[in-house]
Amino acid sequence: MSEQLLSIRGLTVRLPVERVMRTVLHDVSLDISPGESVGLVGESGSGKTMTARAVGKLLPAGARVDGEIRFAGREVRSLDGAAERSFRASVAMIFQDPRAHINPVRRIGDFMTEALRTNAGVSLDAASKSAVGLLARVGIDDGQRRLHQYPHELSGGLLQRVMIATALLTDPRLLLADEPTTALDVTTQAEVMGILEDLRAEFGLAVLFITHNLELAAAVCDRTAVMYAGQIVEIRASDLLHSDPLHPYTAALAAARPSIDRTASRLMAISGRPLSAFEAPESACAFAARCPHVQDACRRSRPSLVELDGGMTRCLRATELRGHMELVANG
Amino acid sequence: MSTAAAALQLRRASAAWKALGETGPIGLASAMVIVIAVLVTIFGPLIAPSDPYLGQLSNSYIGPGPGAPLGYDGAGRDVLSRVLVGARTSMLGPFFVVVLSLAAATLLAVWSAWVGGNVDSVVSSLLNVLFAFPGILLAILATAVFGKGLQAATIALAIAYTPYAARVLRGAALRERSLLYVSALEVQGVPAWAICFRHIIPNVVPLILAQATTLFGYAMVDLAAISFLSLGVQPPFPDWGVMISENLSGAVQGFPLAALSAGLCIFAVVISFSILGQRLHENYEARR
Repeated sequence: MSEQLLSIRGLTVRLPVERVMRTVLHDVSLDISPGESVGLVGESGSGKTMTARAVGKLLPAGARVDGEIRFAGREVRSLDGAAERSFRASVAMIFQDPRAHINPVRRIGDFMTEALRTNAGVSLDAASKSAVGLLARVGIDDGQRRLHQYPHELSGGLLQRVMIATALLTDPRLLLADEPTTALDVTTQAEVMGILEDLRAEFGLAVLFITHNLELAAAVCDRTAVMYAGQIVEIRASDLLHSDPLHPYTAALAAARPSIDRTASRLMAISGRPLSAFEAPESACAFAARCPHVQDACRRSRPSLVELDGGMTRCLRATELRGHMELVANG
Repeated sequence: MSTAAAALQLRRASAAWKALGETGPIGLASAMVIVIAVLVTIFGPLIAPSDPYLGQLSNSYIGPGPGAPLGYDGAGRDVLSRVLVGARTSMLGPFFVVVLSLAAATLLAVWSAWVGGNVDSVVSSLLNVLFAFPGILLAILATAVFGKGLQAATIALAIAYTPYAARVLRGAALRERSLLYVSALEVQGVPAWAICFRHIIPNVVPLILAQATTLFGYAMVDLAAISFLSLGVQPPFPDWGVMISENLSGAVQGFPLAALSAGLCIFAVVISFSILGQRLHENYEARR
């Protein structure tokens, strides 16, 4: 496991909600090797963002965390002082809504250079120069001018590029991208994704790409992890996710997506409603209530994440169902 | 230094002027009164027409006349000169109360909002206990323990006013703390002190200023009251509170001008600070 850049093992997170501890993540395990891009997909509330916040040490006060998160072999949660600063420099994060993540009364240049100036003691002059350089890399040619502007003077797409450039300023090895394109329109989305892809190749950056867009994740990531109700239910090489899913939930999602080469009078949907992580039963499969392949055994114990043909799945019947699931979902 | 870096160091100093302009004509008039009071505080002894300490008993309670636009007090001293010189303590006392209490309140509020949890609970409880002590009572106690004078009263009032400012500022700091840009800075590795001092505190400065102006008025009245009770500034120094106290008998006998001029000074300054503070606070809340 030592070659893994990020290694999450059995991560369970509970948050206090009105004095009751509620589980938001259950037994999440995920590895990212250097330079690899891993997609993390799931519905709203499935725990994608919580996973990223746990890795980025951004969990709210009072959160109870079990399991381990290792970055380059070191336990992330016990880092402090200089070790934490170097961890912060190695792990960058970009967010869904760039506008909310910049102090609106400070200039772009202040925002971009603050961490470098404060932590690495880089002069304002040098920091501004590298900021302009990186802005050019993300396709902003008039970086010099942009540094003096305020966030409200930039469009959402531009601002997200600024966020990406800022994230890269400290020369990170892992980028946590929390729905970086969700708040952008489709054309800008494509541009931003293109930039991320180029930079990933150029900097040898590992990326944890969080999205609710299964297609997008499958298109840009090497591997994709699917989350449901605070658990990872499947991890699969992205190109096999649609053609050969291991978990009924993934298969149902794939079946539910509308296609331009198929005419359907009704869109497919998964019956029932999505569960929140804290509603997931302790001793049953979280997806049992909605699964078309459910058996009694599924309601008696919670399956664990097991390896199957290069992927991971959290389904008791994974082996026997393989290859038969899409048929049922479509029928 | 490159042009980019040079321009970045230019901060917007015009923000304060803009905030002042938004308070409207009454707010601007209040600001004018305050500016005049500050100028008098600085230059008062220089522009005083005669010696504020030198009295001629034959002039006792003589009304306005040539050379003495506000007349003379009971000891035959020029009232105008005394008012001008008295601004020193009457303005500086409240100023120090405000500076001390706001510094303490800001640090406490931002610290407890940042750390949260038990620290926040303990700080809030301590502040609530402090609320139980009226400022003037605490100041009288302090003069009893540390001796009469402005210093003890100022420090006691600063402590008594801290919870009022801290409670308001803590709310604003909590709101600011929960904003996403703070997470973005945290994840970049910007240390907590830098986020607090460079981002959170500057973003609540309008509220700090509003608190300062409101508290200044209260502090001025309280300190004048303490001097009036002859526990604060000691005669013959012409503190406005002392002047009211000294000339009370004259006011009863039908010569109110000496006590009244000091009283009107307090009134004008307190009202101006109160109006300005309220306007600034309203504008701050309206922007949220």
